[in-house]
Amino acid sequence: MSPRASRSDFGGPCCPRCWRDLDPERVLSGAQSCPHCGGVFEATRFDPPPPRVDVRAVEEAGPDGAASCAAHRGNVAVGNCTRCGVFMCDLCRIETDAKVLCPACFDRLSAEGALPSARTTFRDFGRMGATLLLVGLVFSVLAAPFTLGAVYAGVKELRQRKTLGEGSAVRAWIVIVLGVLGTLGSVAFWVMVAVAGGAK
Amino acid sequence: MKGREKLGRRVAFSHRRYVYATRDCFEIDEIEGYDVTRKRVFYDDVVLVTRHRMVPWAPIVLSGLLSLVGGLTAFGLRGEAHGVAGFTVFVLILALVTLTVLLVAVGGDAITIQGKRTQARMDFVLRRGRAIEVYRRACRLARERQQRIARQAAPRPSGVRA
Amino acid sequence: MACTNHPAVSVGLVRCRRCGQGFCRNCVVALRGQYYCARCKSDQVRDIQSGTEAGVLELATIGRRFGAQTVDGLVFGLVILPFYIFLFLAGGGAAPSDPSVGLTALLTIGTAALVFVYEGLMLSSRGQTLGKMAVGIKVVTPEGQDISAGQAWRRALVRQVFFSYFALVNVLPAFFTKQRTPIHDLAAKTRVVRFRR
Repeated sequence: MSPRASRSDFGGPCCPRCWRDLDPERVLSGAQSCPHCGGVFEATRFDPPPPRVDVRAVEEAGPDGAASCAAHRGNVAVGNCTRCGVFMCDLCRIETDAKVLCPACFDRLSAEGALPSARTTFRDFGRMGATLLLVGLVFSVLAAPFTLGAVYAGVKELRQRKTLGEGSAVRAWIVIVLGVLGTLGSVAFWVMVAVAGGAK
Repeated sequence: MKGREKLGRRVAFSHRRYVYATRDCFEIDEIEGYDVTRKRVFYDDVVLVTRHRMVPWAPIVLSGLLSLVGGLTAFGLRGEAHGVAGFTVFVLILALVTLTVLLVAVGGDAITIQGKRTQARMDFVLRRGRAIEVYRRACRLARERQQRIARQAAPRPSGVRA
Repeated sequence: MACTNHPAVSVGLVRCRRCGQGFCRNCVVALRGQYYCARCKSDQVRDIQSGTEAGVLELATIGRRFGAQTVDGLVFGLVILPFYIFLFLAGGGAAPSDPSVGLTALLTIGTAALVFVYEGLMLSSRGQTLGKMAVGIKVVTPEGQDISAGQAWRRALVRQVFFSYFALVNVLPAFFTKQRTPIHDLAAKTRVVRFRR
């Protein structure tokens, strides 16, 4: 078996030294050695419990009956969606980010990027803003487009912080303030040049 | 602030990866330029946690080269270095050599946290104590969560559990 | 065929996207347009949260794409350099103090044409140029499949049309769109993803 290329070709427990697959049955806790490369490593093995979904049919709920799920008429509803309030059975129920959502709301929120636990890609706007400020510094009086870009990046960082809790508010504000100052400075320079040119 | 605990990191040529522990999962942030890509290993998905010794080649080569360059320079200038400046340079070179020796002797530790879907890797150079601490913490986080789920799934027949 | 959980039900069955077994309407839930049974739905939600969802393109980061461009530029510089030296020598060995507009234009258009052919050929044959191969990225369709020759050549053409300053304009949408598409990617309907052998 050839060694893996890198992280995203992950298909189960592997040797930490040579990346080759390990037979899950053979890996135990304690000092281990890899059958492929002979390397030793210390390991602790876990057996994760399989996910449990408890769907009960309405007919079994008893004589006083129970509310049924909006999407599955035959299943007992076990709760409401936090966002839209619809009744859900355990099959529909998705618990994330301190919320309980129905599949439709989960789809919608994760597509908008509003669920931190479902987000997997981010932009580091704070760092972008800092770089734009440095570039603006290099361009000095022509810095306006870059300092404006830095302000935009700072604002996006603040927004990302509010919706997802990512990034640093302090850095965002520093970037915004410096960006505004830089823009004003370079604009003021050209205004003065224009005024001085007009006064001649 | 997000309130997540930083566990370790692993630096490569074009990107760096940081591993954090949050309430429900280990988060692996890969920072490449201005983009952050995040993967998660949930505590109840953890299958294996490992630790092994590794040779930190990049720091060894770097520190070794610097020692060599410093040593050769010092040797070349051996007649002319006097007083405080000479002494400082000598101390610096000695420090570099010591660092290289330490890196070769002690080396580093690598920790992996393997889940059902993906894995986290961390390197600790010259920090065996921290590596062992992180290893234990990772095992504890996974074990406690998985035991809690197992308890919830199999309620005791005798009634409500205290 | 009958529902895996309810053997009595055999109408209105749906296949679970992950395990492929048949289920009645009460046993499947829809996520992003696909149906999953109870066990697979938990797995799918976990996959989404872990960042390991199957079928989602792993888009290449801007830094990596820029690195690929740099490598390609270096390769090209090394290849083109002998030509410039040849022209220099053929011109009598004296650096022209005032190169004619025609010569400069010829050189620029010639280089652009060469880059166009290079990209068109490499992308239509393997979806990667040398620079892209070096950093581990590849040009694919939005579905993740190999691109057609038409897409490859259109992409290369649009990229060369936006020259010098306009090249920056071309690149700008890549920073602001979710799918990281500069104008030449939008025109050819392509995406650039991480690709490891």
